[in-house]
Amino acid sequence: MDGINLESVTKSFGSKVAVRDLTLYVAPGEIHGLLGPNGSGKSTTMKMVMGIVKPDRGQINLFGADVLHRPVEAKRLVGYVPELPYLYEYLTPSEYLDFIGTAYHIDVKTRRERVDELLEALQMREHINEVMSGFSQGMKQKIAITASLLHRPKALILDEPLNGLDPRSVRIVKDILQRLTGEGVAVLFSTHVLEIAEAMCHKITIMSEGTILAEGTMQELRSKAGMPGSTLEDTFLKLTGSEDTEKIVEALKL
Amino acid sequence: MNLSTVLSLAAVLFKSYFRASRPGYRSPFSNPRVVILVDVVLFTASFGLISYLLPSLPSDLTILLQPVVAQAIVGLPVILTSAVILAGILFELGQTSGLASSEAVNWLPVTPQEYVIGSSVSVCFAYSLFPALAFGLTIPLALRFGMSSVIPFFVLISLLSFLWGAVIVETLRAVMNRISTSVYKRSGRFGVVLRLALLVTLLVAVQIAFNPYILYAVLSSIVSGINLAWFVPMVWPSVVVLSLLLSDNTRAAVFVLLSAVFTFLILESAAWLRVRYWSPMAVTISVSTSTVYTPKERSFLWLDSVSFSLASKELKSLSRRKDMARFLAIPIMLVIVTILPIITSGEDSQTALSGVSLLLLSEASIILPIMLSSVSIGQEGRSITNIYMLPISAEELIKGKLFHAWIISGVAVFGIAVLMQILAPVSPLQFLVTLVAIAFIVVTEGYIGLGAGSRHPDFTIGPRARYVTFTGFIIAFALGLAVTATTLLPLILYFTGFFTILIGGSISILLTIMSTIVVGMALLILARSYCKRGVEKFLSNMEV
Ligand SMILES: Nc1ncnc2c1ncn2[C@@H]1O[C@H](COP(=O)(O)OP(=O)(O)OP(=O)(O)O)[C@@H](O)[C@H]1O
Ligand SMILES: [Mg+2]
Repeated sequence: MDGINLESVTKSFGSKVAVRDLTLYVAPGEIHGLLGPNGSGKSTTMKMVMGIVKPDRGQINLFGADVLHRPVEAKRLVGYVPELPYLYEYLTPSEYLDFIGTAYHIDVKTRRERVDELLEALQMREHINEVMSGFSQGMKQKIAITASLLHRPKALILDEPLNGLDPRSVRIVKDILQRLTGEGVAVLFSTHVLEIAEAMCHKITIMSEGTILAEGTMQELRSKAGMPGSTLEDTFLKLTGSEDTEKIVEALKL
Repeated sequence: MNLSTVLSLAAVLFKSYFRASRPGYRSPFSNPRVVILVDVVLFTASFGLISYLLPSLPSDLTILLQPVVAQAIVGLPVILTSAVILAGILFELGQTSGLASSEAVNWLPVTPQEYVIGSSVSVCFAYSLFPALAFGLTIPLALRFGMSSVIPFFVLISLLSFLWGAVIVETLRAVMNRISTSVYKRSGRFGVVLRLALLVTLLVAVQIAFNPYILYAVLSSIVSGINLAWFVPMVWPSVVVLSLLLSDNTRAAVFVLLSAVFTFLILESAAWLRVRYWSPMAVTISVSTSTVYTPKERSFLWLDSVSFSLASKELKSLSRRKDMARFLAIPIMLVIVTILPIITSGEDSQTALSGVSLLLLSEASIILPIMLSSVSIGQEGRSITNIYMLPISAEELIKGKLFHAWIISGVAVFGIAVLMQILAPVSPLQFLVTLVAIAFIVVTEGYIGLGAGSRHPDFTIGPRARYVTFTGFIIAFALGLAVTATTLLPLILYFTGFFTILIGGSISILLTIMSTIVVGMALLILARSYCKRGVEKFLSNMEV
């Protein structure tokens, strides 16, 4: 089966159920936005797709490869940008990308082309031989994004990938993603910036406390919230049951 | 200085030490009360045991024991200082720059003095089983030999020495940051090498300076007349105890005063160093000035391209990370600490030297590979996400993670063996058997270290990163010792003449070779599967 498939996936940490019986499908060529309040299980879901966290129950399948039973094969097909860019900070981007490229078995010539292209686009060329411990958050994020795209994956798991990026780079990453979906890549994308989700995602899933609150296109979400014509922000707040923000702020007496 | 700030800081640092080694994992020791309980139990048990055994000793032996007991309680303060410093170098100096600068204590209103004392107290608390055990063993003896009046002073001044060790570790941390920063301004590969060399030298120098053997020598100079003790503050607490035992109360008072002054001085200088160098500045370091990306892909010996790039990452981690420098310093330290007593004692060399080289050889062939391989998983810290997300197999990970451990220990052990052959030659055939045995040991120990390290990794990257849990460390060393002893058994039997008695002389060396190979091979296969299962389990059971 093509695309990213999660079927009745559950994961608990001790007594805390982080993800509860979640079923999700991301079709090839689709950017699927994952929204939800802090701690609603977005990152945990993505880590399970990556095989980094083992689900207690359920099936996960990436373009035909079973993540649980054939993890190495599944990982070849997917690129991942974690919530925080955990790079090897004592390496230079050049060394780090060599490591990543080798692990994905990308031949030297292709690797050079892709790294050059991506780093040029993200304006990181001049830092290629600097040790990354001195990098800013956005610089590290750019390297993490480059690493995830290096092997032309069929699926992309992006956990708040635009965090810390400057507007120019945000635009470039958006454009890259649009182009990749045109080529049939399935993208699972989490963010807290609703404007970005609204502008980029073909479909949106709103999670809360480990389960799906609502799922569908923007249109479908609006009608589900009974608020046609409203912004995603209002829809999101309505669906997650937190419209009364004004009262809360008032009560703070700051 | 606010005492409650100090104590709450110490409690927080202590808890961070025992918690969070893995998300969701909590050590029973993370509760300070458990530590106190363990201390009390340890003290009571050892106290009880000694008190119980003492009366049953024959009286002539008891008389012989008296000077030993006196020596022990005089030496204890010094030993406690050394022990904390050694433990500090082993376990307390892992701190990455990025983390240090974002630690909350650095922007909270905590004075540097409060921080230094808080942190030192938490270190002391973490190792409080040392003094608990030491007091439990020595106090009943001291009571038995009529030294009871000295005991309260002895306990207090020993605890002070214990704290000194922790404060010196704090100082060391700041000095290491200082070295990192200044050397890093010099970019390029030379900077990296220079920094590593300086850090290793610093750690080795500190370890030698606080070596109990040397401090003991200084102490004994009091007896011999040329009194060196005046110049070496580390031994002052011991001088206090000695003076009290000799009823020289004036001298005791003088040294108590000196110790107090010294306490103040090291606290102030540690605080001063912390203010200046609490964190290494993040400096931009270029390994090369080129801005062109030249992809590299190599394979080497038994390493395919994936395990080669893992291995080279591992070597860079060792050479570029400040917190990894200690893993190179520790073996050098051990060598020097082992050789030192021989050189200084001036004893006739030949036999002593060959004894020492044997000791060195087993030290190096156990400690080096185990240390390097057992920390190789945990030292990844949160970056372990990279290993998890990449399509890397257990086989590739094992090869990549063990290469540096095998090569570094192999070279060191082979060097020592050759040196030993020059100093105390054995026949070429015997030398060959030794080499075979050592080769087996190094390879097997590497597997054991990685097996334990992948089962018990510690991903904490705080000020107290250890990279392998205490349990993992103990398991690895226990298994390592057993492997070495078993592999060397045929050789030991041969050298003690057992095989020669059993069968004729010329056959026995052949029997030794054969049995070494059989035993070595068997253990190697076992260790390999222990390692493989550990790494596979680790790769399939990730939780970050
Ligand atoms: N390793 C872990 N151990 C224990 N609990 C965990 C672990 N990882 C996640 N959790 C818990 O699972 C829940 C979901 O966490 P998750 O990181 O998936 O949230 P999120 O939706 O990504 O939040 P955010 O928007 O803040 O990134 C939280 O309650 C969190 O405390
Ligand atoms: Mg998250």
